Amino acid sequence: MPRDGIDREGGGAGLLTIALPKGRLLHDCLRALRGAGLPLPEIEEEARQLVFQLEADGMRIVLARPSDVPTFVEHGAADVGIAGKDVLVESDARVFELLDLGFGKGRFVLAAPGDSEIGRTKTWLPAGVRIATKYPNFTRKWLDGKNVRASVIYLRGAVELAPRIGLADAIVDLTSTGKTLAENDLKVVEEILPISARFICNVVSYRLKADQVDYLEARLGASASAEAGEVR
Amino acid sequence: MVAAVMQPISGPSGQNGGPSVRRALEGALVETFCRFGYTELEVPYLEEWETLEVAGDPQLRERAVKVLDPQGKVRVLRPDFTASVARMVAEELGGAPRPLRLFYSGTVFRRADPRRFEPEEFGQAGAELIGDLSLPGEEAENGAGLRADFECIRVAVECLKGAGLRELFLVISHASLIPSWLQLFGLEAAQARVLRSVLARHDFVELNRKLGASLSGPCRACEKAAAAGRTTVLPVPFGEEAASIALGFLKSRGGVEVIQRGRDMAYRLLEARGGHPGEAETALLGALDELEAVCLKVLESVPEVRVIVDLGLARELEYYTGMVFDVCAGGLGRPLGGGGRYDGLMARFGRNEPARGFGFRLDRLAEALSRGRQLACHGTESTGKGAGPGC
Repeated sequence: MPRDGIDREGGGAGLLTIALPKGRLLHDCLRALRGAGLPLPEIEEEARQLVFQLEADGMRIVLARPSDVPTFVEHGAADVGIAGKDVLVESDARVFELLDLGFGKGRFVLAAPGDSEIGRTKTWLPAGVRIATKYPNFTRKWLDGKNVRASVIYLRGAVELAPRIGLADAIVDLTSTGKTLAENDLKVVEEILPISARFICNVVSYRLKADQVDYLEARLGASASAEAGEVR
Repeated sequence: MVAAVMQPISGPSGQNGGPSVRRALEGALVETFCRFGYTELEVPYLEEWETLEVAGDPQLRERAVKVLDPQGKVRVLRPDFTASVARMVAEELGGAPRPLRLFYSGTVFRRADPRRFEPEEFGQAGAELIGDLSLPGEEAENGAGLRADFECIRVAVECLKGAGLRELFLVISHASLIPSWLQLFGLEAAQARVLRSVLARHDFVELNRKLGASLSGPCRACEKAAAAGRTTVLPVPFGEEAASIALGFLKSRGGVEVIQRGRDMAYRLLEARGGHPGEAETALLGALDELEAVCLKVLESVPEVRVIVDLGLARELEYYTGMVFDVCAGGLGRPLGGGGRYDGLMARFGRNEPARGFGFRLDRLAEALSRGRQLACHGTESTGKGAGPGC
């Protein structure tokens, strides 16, 4: 096996399949992979191509909806992937989390209208409080940990509107700059979990394609540290 | 040949292959079990809730389908065979001559997880080797221990080969590695438990953070030893170097040479720490020796299996006491099954004797076999036309 662990003889079965999320993280994922030395072609979401073969480098890239990346990796359709920690905790996928890539940062917060009791006093939630969120599994787990009885209202989008239109008393949502919350007069009541993009791996591929996985992980890790160094 | 008989038919509730495939599979497995001298244990579908509590696997307890009997007592549909077999061996077969060789095959039941789309019922088959394999006059446990470990693995592999599986991988480790490794760092029991749980999930991001936090202070084992006057070496803060050796150890996987690398890392750590080797070191090195012995024997006697040593393979269940292994098929994203040595489980049922066993899921085995056939039909290595299972 060559030093980089790439099995160039093995045809399809030897390729390392990498699942990447379409949408806001894709640009940073591609940058990280290029930083790790992968000669990626131009990948444009709008172009509708979803699979990119890089056989000379023993890799194949597959684009997927962000919430589907952990599913691809869990079932072995992809050997590795990049997914936001928010998607990972929500899906509870059985994958190995190998690296914090350092981009796509944000945090899960509990937020409520600034002029509400929760928002003003920032004291704990009254029993029966209604919480709207795009992340019901994560929210329920968090609430269970707190022993709070609450209604969790699942919304697919525009969660920040829910308190204003009387659908919920508070929201659990992902925030990065805090702009959306501020624009909707929502105050952060509690910081729940920091989020960033993670490099994940299928449990079987972790062992069977150890060399390829380790090689990519090392290159991604070096590239992520270098970037973090630059930012500082 | 079993493989020639099976056609991929979609059976009721989407089971891979349907009933005739499962019967053929079970037939092949039973034939192998019998060939190795194992006898069938008939295990009831309904099990007592206490049995699951005694066995102590919280995930299985949570997934078990609970049934209320007319007296209002909680019983369960078996989610697994292992706990029931351990109970039956302890309660009904306590007096039976050892070593005891038992196999089982049947349906197990688990509550549906809405996010997972896993089947609620699936077939499971496996075997247990209970007791000591010492020959008359043989003293050292190790010789018999190695024979028993090897037999367990060999029967598992032969079962899968007999069922038609060609590309087979054994991922192997030892249950004592991680606890002794964590002990080497002088971590408190509670901290060690948290790390073990993180390790079992293979959340290396969290592990990195927690190890870094745990190890940024001086080595507690050194402090204790110094306080007890056992060593004149001053406690040294472990910090980043130790965390990096620790992670290196826990991520070591590959061929049997990984074991020597594990030893080297352990020595580096001991050197950095100073003092005399204690209980944790002896346990760690002993575990590496045992693991190496089993690997070499498997490589020598079952050459068609690819052996992958993974020093970080962690079982969250504490009743595993020796070698542990997973069996994987090329092209399948999840393990077929696995097993290991779990004296601790027998102890929970009041028996003080060695026990080894393994089990696999028949639905995954059927899936692996059907993919193997697909690969053989579609893939050609020279054209490299992406014949992998992801297509």
